[in-house]
Amino acid sequence: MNIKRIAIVGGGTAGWLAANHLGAALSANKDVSITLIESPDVPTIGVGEGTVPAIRDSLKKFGIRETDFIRECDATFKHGIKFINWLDKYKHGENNYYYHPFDYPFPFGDDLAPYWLHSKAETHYADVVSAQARLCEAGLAPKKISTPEYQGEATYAYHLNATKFAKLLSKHAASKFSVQHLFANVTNIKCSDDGYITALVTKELGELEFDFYIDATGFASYILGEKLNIPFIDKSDQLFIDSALVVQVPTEENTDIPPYTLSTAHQAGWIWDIALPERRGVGFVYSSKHLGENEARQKFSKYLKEPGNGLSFKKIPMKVGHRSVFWHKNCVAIGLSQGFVEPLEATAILQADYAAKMLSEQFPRVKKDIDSLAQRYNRALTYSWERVCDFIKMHYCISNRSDSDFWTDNRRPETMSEHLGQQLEHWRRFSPKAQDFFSKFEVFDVENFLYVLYGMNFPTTKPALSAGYQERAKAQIKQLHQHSQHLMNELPRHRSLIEKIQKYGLQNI
Amino acid sequence: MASIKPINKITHKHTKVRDNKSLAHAKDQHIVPLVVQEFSSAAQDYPIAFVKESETGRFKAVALLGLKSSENLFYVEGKWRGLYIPQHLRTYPFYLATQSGSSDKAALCIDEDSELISEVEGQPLFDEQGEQTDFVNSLCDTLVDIKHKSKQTDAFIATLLDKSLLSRKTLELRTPGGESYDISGLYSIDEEKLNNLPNEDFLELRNKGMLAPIFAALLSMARINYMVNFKFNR
Repeated sequence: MNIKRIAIVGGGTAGWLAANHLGAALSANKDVSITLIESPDVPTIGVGEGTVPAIRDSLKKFGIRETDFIRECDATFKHGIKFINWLDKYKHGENNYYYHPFDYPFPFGDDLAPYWLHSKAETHYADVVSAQARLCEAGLAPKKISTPEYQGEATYAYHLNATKFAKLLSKHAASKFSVQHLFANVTNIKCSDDGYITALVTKELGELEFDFYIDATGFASYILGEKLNIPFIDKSDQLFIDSALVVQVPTEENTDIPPYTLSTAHQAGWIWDIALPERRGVGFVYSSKHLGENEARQKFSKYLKEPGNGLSFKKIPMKVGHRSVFWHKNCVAIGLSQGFVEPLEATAILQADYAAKMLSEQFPRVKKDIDSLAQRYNRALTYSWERVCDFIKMHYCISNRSDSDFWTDNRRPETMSEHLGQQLEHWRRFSPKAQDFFSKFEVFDVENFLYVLYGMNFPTTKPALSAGYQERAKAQIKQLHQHSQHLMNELPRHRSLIEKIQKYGLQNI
Repeated sequence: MASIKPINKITHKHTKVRDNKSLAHAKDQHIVPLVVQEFSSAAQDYPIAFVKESETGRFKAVALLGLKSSENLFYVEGKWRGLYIPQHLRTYPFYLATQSGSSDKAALCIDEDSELISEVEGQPLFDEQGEQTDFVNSLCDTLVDIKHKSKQTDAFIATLLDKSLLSRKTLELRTPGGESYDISGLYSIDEEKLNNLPNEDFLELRNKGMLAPIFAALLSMARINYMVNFKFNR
């Protein structure tokens, strides 16, 4: 049986990313049709504005111009994440911070972590290996108006308006890949004896038959989770965050737009703060076991410098974990329907994009292809989800904050995976290297771990340094410093570049 | 420092402008803007390229006068070596300043600090009756003409971009001495892409009158060799 008719259920970011990835991969085949069905009643999650550099490759692949994307989605640039107060303020100061930027931390090929371990008291690790943290502190954009689309002087991603992003993706999918767009509420599914879905039952359009189904229904995981009963693997024993209070705060004209995501830790979680040109998206995430809702609202108000008790904040409960499989017979879940972790490292759009891309690159042509493809897919993505959980967990368990149970509980060995525990033990004695990462599906690799471990002052034993290495390291640090200076002089202020892009656009060459 | 002021018959009653045959004001310019209508003429002397304006990132067409920043190989010992003079060079020290609030009303201005300005010798701005002289009117016409032609040049460039006909050129030159020399930041018309255009796109270029300037730009690239030869052999 040929797989020709593909349905995507759900019109949020994940659904439309899937539509474009599948469209780009399959549109050469005139037999294949893609239909996205979204509910006219169920809202999208309404938050989710941080991305990682891989999104640029996807947008480029789809054929969307960076100029159009920035203009239509209120996008701003993101160099990385600034983590504030993740370390004990008595030891490291009030508002202590470190950066996790996107630039690869081996600017001249050498690993400078061993060198930094000898001098760490003086400089932030990120400043030794990249110019990006300095660019962030100076409020500079990662490129100029004359830099071609999707290229930059520093590695970057975006902050964006999720609703507008879905709209742009949907417009593009329709015009470029002939994706059909229907509005209907799915009330049930019909399956054949072998457990394959044969049709969607909808309230407004009756039964709709397809050959393959993408579940992009968000937290509900309506098809994979609810109807096909694929179990959810709960990770709340490792990751305690289970609630979010969210709000949008208008910004004044002509104020600076931080070119990075802020993540400010508090006694039971942390606060995200993402700036778009006209407003900030801010979210207070916390563990309800460690902080009550009223107190959370008060603390959030305090952060926002708003009077009152924060009654206007929207509360979103968050179940942390992921499905035991993501591809079951002729159904694949993409996005929040696959799983969720707190957005500490902007993983929601990252995982949706990654999963959609992976599916589109080896999409079954006939029913017989499904078993082996699904097996590979599930294995790769399960591994990636586990590693994502580990990376997020690491931010907590290497902190030395002890001002609340939330922080001390997070360091209890039984709350981290065995894999993470072993990695951390190893890294006490040896700094992270590429060989510590076993798979292509790590999501976060040596460069990310280096930034977070050493941003948080992790105590790795100082290795002996050869004279040759020290000379090279000194020369490279000096060269990087000069390069930083050059960039500091060349690059425009963030808001100024966004305004110019609105006015003049970017060239694609 | 430039001091650009609108001309008026009172302050500038006795102001005169000396002859500018040598174009000394451009001696440190390595590029000069071109309008598309002059491509065929300019191509006889200068390589025609496209560069991005640093303020806006938008493309403009230019004649290359030198092989590096601030180098002008056409201004030598007080004389201009090129046979054709690009329009943008002919109007110094006059400028057209658009008045705020009105995009089609512009004021003719002059750079009072220019070395060409004199009270004693040169072409006067105003005659005995306080009327603008033919000299001034003719320059004003040229400036207005450049403004219109610049819009048409922008449209020409927009079509080139739309058809993906421009590409970045890293000119690697071998000097007569055998050294390697690198010019970057230049874009030129991509002959291969032009040749591979679908028929209807190529017809569109013809209908828009773009073929001659496109070929002029392509042929003009050979002028770089002359510039290299001149630079390293004099």
